[in-house]
Amino acid sequence: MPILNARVSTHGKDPDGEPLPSHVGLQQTGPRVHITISALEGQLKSSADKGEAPTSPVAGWALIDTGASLTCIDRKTAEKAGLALVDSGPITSATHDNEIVPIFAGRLKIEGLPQYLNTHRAYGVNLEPQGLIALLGRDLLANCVFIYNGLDGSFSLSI
Amino acid sequence: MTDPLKQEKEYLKSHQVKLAEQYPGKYLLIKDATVHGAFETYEQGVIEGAKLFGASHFLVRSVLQPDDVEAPSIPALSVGVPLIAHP
Repeated sequence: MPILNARVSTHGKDPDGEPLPSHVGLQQTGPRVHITISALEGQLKSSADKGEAPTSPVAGWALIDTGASLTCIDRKTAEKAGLALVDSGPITSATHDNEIVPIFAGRLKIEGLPQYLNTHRAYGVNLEPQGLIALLGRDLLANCVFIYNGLDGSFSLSI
Repeated sequence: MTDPLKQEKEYLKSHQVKLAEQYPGKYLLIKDATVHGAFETYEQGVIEGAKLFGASHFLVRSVLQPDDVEAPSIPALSVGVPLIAHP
């Protein structure tokens, strides 16, 4: 079972001009992983068989969000990566109650881990202002061991 | 936002009784006003739909669930927690 061990490095400085320690960086940013989002394997193969132009994977940061019951993907990222739109449903944001958003199916690859993870039901939301392309929710974490070490400023993820 | 699957949802809702008799307990793959397949699991329907329609929209739902599910619990979005990608 491969394990990703990550320690947060920060670009920020404390009042004395010293780099912020890892535990402060982890507290500020949360456990982030660099991921690539792409269409489902069967979709890519089918498109290739039809002679269609392939869609390109999109890379960026994702937050491991143990508070989220389901995974969310930035809507523009999902569209750019050519994910299939398989349903739509309500979501509550800070500004809207029960806003209907698209639900996408695709796959994720976490840098440092070998496997692709299929997500068949990821809510399309606007994460661009946060500099994130996904929130990895408990539906994906259901297949993982996740350890958060706040003292060390590190975390481990195993799938 | 305008619901991209309005037509598919309305079709499922208005034909639900008939579809439930025809495809008992199945997950339906619906595009426009046509059923393109009935599957044992949701995942099977999604995979087949992605092969058939690619990045275009289609609906995969249990024949017993014509209405939207309740909103998921995502506090980072619902309370507007400021997420920071880079400190």
